Amino acid sequence: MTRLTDARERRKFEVFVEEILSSAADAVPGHLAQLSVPDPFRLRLKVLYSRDTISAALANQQKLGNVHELNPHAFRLDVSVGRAPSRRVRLPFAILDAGRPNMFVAIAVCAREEWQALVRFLDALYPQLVPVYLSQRELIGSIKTLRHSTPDLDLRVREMSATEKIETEAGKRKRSVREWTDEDLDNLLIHVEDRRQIINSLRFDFHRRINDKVDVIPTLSCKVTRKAIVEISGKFAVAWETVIADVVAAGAEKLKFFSQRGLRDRNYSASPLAIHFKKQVFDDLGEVRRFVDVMRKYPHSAYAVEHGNPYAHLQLSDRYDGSSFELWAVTSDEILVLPRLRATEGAVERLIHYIYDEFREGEVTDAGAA
Amino acid sequence: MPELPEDEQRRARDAAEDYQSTVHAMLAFSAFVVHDASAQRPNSHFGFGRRMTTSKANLVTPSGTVTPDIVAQKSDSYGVVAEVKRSLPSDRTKWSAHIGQIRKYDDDLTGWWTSDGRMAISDTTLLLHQTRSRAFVNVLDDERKKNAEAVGPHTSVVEFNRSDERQVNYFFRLEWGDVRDADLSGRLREGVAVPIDKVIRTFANVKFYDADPPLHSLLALLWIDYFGPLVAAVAYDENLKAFPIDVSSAAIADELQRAYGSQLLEKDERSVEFPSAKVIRRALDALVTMKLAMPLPTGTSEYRVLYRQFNDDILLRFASMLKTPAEKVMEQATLPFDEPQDVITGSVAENPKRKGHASDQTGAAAPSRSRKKSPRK
Repeated sequence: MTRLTDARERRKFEVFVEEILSSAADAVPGHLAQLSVPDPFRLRLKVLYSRDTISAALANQQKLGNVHELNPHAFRLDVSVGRAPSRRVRLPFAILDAGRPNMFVAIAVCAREEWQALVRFLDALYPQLVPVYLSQRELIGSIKTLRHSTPDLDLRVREMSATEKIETEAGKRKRSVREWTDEDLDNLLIHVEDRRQIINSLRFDFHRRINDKVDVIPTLSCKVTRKAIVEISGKFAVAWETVIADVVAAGAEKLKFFSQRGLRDRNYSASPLAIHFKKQVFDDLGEVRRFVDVMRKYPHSAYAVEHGNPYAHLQLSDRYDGSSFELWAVTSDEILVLPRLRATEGAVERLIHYIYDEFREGEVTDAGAA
Repeated sequence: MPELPEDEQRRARDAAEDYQSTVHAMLAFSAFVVHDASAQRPNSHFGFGRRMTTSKANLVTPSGTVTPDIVAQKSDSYGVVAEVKRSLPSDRTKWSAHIGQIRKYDDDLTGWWTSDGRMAISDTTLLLHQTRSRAFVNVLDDERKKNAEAVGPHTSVVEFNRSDERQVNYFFRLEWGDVRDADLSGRLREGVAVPIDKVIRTFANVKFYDADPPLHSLLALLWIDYFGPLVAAVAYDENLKAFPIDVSSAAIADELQRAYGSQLLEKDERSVEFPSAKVIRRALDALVTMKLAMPLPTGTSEYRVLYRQFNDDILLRFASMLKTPAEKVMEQATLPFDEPQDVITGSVAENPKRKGHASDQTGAAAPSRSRKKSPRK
């Protein structure tokens, strides 16, 4: 891969990228498929959900002058990146319809720092723009789907970043691990299960397969993260039709499952959810207390703890959009989530993701009458 | 806000939890009567605080109206009327009032869900928390020795408790007397455990019954659940240092009845409404005292709630404010709000930073006021 070191060359490349992203929306994927991306640039995508049009979701930012609309789907973000000294950059990006109701994909071709600034910007547009998160189960599920839908490609996992718990003298701590492998997915998952790791991202290569012969040069290299970010090197068209489509499908399915949960949306009939854990987590009273402590710190919320020992019962709100929930931990392996008067799918997604990240990952199911 | 001493915090939480667990115990007992192992029985019904008419022969209130906590109809030929007491006064001489109350219910009451409103066989049960059931039974026996008519012929005492074992259950056991339904009697004699998670799953949003909830608990619910979603629609008022939200007690009561109260249960001319508009007005008046609302002289809205974002436990905050004299409330309600309040519209310009939703570095984001940063003292 070539590397652009000359500032003028880099600028020229950025101008060209802006031209691609601001072309007609249906032409953007085709143009990106033809683009060779030099270092330190990367083609990255982030899956998003919105009930609004993208123009409406970004309207406030446009008024403030942080974002300029180049086309209904293409924008330029004025943003500071880096620290001491920071620098101002104008970052072109596109947000394309992902082909599923309310699902969108933000796309940019830029260096790492710029991308991080764009992700921060997009995350801060909640609740108008809801970041989609993938649980470990969803991340693995979408990759398994991908493997089945691409029988002519051989999928090899190259890199995995994960979190694992370790015992230290000061108690249990989390440790980030990053491993480079050349395993097929099933072997990797056994390894992850054995070490009780939580996967944060997976990078994998796709090799063309003809009959039983596999090309040594990958046709596509992708990194997929729990934040529904996909980083691509290689054939964009393959990624767009496979990886992105699968991540979008996983996100769309989940957000649809979380929608229409608020009592006002359902003529006041309840639609509770349960987060089910494989282990009997709450047999340990310390975990009940930890759960309450974690939820007390739910950012940007109002909360009331009604009971914290031996079971947990609390209510909390999402101040961003006024959604509210009641949480119960009354059995040893489950948290019941009762959406209240207002509960948007975005707020449910944010709450569940927070519980997964800060407390423990489980599986969400409907918790109607037992 | 002055932090409540630990024992008062515990009392505040206990009061809220007592009310909630009374609701759950009522639901669990009702479900025990109206459900078999798999589904609701045919012709079964239940209601909380249902208005029942006493017979002319009623020894306490002839031809009057009574409102037992639970009226549970197992079939069109058998039903149970129950009163729930989670706590009793420490002065045992006052317990005779409860005996008198259940005496009224042990009668040929009218108001059942049958064609003529009457029930062939009905029993009266006092559901008592386990901690008081034995002592109460002794008093009951004494009263009956003094006056054979003091306790009705079809009255029983069922003790209940919440077992906080690995699986949290409501446990019911017949402590005194009997019920005339062989199935229910046999199971109550042995003891019946109803898992709390089944109650929550089945009746996920029943949060009230026909007794008023503790005020701090109601205020916490209103603040988090009712006013919270309304904030997005109003602009922050710099002068008031709050989001002004105009509300009416009738509209709030109606929505809470639909979402969490009487309208979730069967509704007819005998059912009662809870939570009542009266208790909602009492809560709003308490907010006026706390300087978190003001009465409105005209229009359909009677109050303007001055919504502010509290970063501490809302339940304890209201428990503390309710016990604080009005003049101090004024001081406390004003001081912490000199800082600007977060505006809730979701834009970057107006949203502070948050985990996983950090604002960009354009300088457009409002300053963050994280919970950890400034405890409201």
